Amino acid sequence: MTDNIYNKIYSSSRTVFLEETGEKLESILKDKVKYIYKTGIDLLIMVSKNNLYQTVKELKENPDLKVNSFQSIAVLNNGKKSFLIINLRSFDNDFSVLLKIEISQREIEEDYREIIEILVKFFRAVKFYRHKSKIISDSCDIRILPRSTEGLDCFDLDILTDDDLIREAYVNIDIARIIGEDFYKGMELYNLIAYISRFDWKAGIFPEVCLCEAFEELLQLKVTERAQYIRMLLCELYRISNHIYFISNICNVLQHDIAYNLSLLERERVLRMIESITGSRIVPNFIRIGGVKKDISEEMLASIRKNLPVLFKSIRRIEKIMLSDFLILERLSDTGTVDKEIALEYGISGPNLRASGIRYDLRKVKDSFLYKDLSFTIPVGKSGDCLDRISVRFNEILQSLRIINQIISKFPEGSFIKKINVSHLEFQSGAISYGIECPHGLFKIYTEVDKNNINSLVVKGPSLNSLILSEEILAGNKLEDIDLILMSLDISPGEIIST
Amino acid sequence: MLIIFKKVFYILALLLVNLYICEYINNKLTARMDLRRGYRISGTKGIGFPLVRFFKYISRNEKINIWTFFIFLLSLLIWSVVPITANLVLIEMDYSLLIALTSYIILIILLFFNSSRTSYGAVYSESGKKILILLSFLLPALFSIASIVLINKTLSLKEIVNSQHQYWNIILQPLGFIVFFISIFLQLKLLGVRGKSYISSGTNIGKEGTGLGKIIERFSVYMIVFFLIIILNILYLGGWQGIYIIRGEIILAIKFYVIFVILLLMDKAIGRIDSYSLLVRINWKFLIPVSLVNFIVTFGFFIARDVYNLI
Repeated sequence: MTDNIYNKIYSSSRTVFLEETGEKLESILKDKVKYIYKTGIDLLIMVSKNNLYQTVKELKENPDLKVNSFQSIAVLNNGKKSFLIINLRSFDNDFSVLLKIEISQREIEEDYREIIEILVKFFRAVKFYRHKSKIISDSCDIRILPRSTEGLDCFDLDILTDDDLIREAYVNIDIARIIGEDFYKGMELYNLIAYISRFDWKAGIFPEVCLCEAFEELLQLKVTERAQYIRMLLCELYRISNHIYFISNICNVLQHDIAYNLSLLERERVLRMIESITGSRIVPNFIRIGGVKKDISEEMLASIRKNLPVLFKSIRRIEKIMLSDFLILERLSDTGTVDKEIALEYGISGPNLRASGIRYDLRKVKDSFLYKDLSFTIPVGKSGDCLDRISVRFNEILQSLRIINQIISKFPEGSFIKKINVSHLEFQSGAISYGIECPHGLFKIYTEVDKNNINSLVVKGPSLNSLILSEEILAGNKLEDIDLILMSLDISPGEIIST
Repeated sequence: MLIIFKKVFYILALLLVNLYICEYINNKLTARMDLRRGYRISGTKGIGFPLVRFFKYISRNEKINIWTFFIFLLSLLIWSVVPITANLVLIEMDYSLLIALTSYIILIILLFFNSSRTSYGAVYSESGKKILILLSFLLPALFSIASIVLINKTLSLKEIVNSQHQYWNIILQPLGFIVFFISIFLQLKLLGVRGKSYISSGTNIGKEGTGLGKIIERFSVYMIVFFLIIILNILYLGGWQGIYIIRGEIILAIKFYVIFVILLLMDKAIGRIDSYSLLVRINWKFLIPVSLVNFIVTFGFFIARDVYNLI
């Protein structure tokens, strides 16, 4: 079934009506759905509110589909109408679905509540989206306010305790909300590219790449090989920078000062490499539709290659210092354990998912870049505790270094951009959803465009799912482990704002 | 009468100079290990740093808590009983070891009262937990002290030092020394040797308390550090006993700073131990059994030698 969807039919994913898939899905879902589109990496299914229960039940329980993972909910305002977009996924069949439900504008809250109540019956993670602040604020024992450490500064945490142990934990992200609509309203496309990296400032290149690639898919524009290599190089550099920053944050929580300072030094080294290419460190604004902003010279590549062995050595040194200390190992192992099933059910992705023992990486699955030309492995953990999450990231840094080395040695000749006038572009009206493997997990964008106008934009970062998961895994742990567990999930504050 | 004033002056001056040097070493060493340059502005190589920090704190207004004041007072009063050298002690008595230990325990309990001034409930409960663990670390230390007392047959600190003129107690009691050292290291780890005192501020709040109160708090924490190092010296490392022609005071100073630097380095190299279950496990599964075994062996030896004259 899923082979048909992804392989046989129309490999490039423009918004086209898929006759074959449509028929097959329609034969299962029958007349409960209005229409089925393929938009980018997802199937878009239009469902009415009344048929939602039966549709989700069919999707979850049918052995051909086995939709077992809940990914996200987003509200989408399309000028006149409001929609709710629900992203579901089947990891067994590698299959992703967007359910689009229309909600009446007068009774938005009631409709929203009804839909959530329906979804809660199938997916536990949806509990997070219930309105619950009134229930908890009266009865909670401890309320932890946002702290100064990055990653823990975008939510309140309400905790119910039994002595030292946490009985229940609730995350409240109301303080960090902005309305996504205001962000892109009246914005030109080139402005949007400059601003979108604010959604994930720990690794700023990924939102840009995701947006540009989405629009390139929409325009059926093929990017030159050199531009793709430059993009890959930057992606890997940012991945390393993000992971080193993650390690430094973990060391900060553990108060292990030596590893903390060493890792910050190495991050500085990587940021300088990035600066030499893009001209800025955190928010690059470097990717363009059709290519990249600037070319890379031979000297830059040589200087990056010169730094790789130094970086490799010092990363191994930090790993040795950190993970040979029995006090740290004692602290990390068996805290915040995430089982395979729970990880799938809550829809986390990236290194957090891989630490639980599931080998899933979009770089290997989908050939968006030229990753198929390069040889690298995907590190996988065993038990999914804090130690696994850290060691997976250490290994990913080493793999990224390996990838960069290959990229530099295979760097192709050619032009770095196909110049197009962005301000006078005309799209076919339709929708596209696009995803990319960012260091936290699966970064997704869903847009609806109409000629030269962006009607709606939904940005979905992976950190929110990790934060929702923390509600589940904090229960049963000790109070003093809260910071460590939350930090080990690598939460990027910008992504949580964007929901 | 004049002699007592002279002694008080000498003790205070010695403590202050030590404080200055230790604060300076602390700053320099932590900076080196952080791969930073450290504070360099004040004077050559940042020699004026402790003074600058003192004025920085004192420039801010804050009310002093009564418990802070008591801690300050008691941390000074300890030195009336504990001999720094043979002559630098105010009150000479036969039970100085007991009195020193009692006042140390009272000091720790006062620290607990001091933490009650915080407005954060979590910090208060956390510091309470820490103090209890800190008190439990005294158990193995007391066992090792008891075996020292059995060997030297005295409760006076001065007598303990004098009885080590042939060889230091560390040779007779290596296990006891290890247990005692680990115990005081973990106590200092909980108190915070460098910079932040976690007992008064907790894990989540980095800075609590500025002004004169902060200085007094830092001062008393340093006094506790000095007290523990001096006690370690007196009990195991021969106190102010000289070696060959070198004067005992110089040897004591060298030993003092070496131990201080080792403690500092260990504190820096090992991350903060937050998991209380681990601390409790270290205490009850390692320190207390080892010290108990050590004590029983020493006690058996004592009975065999002194009561039945077998050895």
